[in-house]
Amino acid sequence: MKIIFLGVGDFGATNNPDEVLKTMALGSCVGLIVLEPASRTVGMAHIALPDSSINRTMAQKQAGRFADTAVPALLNLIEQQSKTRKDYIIKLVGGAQVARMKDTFNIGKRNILAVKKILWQMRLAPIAEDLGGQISRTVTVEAGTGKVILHSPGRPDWTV
Amino acid sequence: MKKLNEMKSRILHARILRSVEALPLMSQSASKLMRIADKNHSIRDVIEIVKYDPSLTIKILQVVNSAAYGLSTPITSVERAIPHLGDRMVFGLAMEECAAPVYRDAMEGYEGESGSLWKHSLLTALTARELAKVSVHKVMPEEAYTAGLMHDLGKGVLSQYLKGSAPALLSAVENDSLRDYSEAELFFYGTDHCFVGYYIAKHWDLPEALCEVIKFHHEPDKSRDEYKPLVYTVHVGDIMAMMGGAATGADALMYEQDPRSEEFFEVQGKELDSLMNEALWEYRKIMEAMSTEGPE
Repeated sequence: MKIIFLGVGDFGATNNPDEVLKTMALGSCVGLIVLEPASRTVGMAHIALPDSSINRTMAQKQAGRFADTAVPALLNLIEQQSKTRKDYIIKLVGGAQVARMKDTFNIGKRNILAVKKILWQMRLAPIAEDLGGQISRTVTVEAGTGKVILHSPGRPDWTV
Repeated sequence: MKKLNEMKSRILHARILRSVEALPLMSQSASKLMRIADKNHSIRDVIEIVKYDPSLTIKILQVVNSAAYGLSTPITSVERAIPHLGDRMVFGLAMEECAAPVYRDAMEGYEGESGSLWKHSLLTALTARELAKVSVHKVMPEEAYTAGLMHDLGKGVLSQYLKGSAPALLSAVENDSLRDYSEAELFFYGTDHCFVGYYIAKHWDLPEALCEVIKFHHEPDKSRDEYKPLVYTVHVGDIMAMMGGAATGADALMYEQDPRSEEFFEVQGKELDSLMNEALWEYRKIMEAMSTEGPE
């Protein structure tokens, strides 16, 4: 099984059943996962921050870094790879925080709201989510099965 | 796992502290660099210390000539290498070299990967440095950087005693109303990574400000007033590093933010996002630069 690692701000997609997409240790970052069942294409973006207006140059270099640029960029990539736009299945994971976190510092909450807002504007919504809480999440998306597996040290793995 | 009785807890605590005493002392050059990192210093001061340390010189030359820096002509002297890398990188390399036994080991007790303590420390240092720039008090960015690099020293030693404990400690925080993961360490093992780190810092004769940060980075309100701005800077930097995906394992995000944190910084949400963006970007660059010769 070939693993395609996606770092902070990266996004990618595959329809090769022998490949998996993996992103490590999402904290306040949000993992946007898009599945296109007809073509068996899976995609994921590792979104670090809500809004590209803080650094447009960086958003051009790395669209996956910001929610407002990552969502359309990943959907475009899926559309190109799957040659279709039928039934997108969208899942969201991440957006964690620590206890008693003040809003100013709560990047996780801002990320979740930003991703959902963009999806909403595109008339899309997640079918499943595993968001917030005090937990780090490593995400694996299997192209062959469409399974989304979450891992966090000290806990049993689970699926979304 | 039940709480150890007091006697067992004391014995374990003593064993942990004995293993700190068995750690090698810092190299002379690393110790000197840590001392000037606290103060205003010039690149010349850094060069003067490094040039008498052959193994640190080799490491610096390896990093500056690595593919990540893309130099067309190799650099062969520390006089040219250090201005190119910047003093922060040099401090980091010096500390990594002498603290290798603490930083390089896999964080088995925390179920963290090899190198995770180093990565977490580096991102904490970078975020703390950015936060120092928006502190309402006078916090020197370079001092915040060094303090961020050192704050979790204790985990490197404590980790070997925590093997297999992660599920119980997590459960204790989630279900038994313990404040955070360090309180769970204290509950089960009679000490926590903050105190163990403080003990290492004393063993290495680190400056008082660094000792204070290491001891109180999860309870900044308990630190002495004169050190609070620095301790709060690292407290928030530590949290931001965990949020940014560089944690040390099972304890990731299992801490709380001190409610006074906002008082110490003049920053709004969007500026904080920007600050995080800068830190993450530099983190990525450094990790790429060090991937050939640095800690993994």
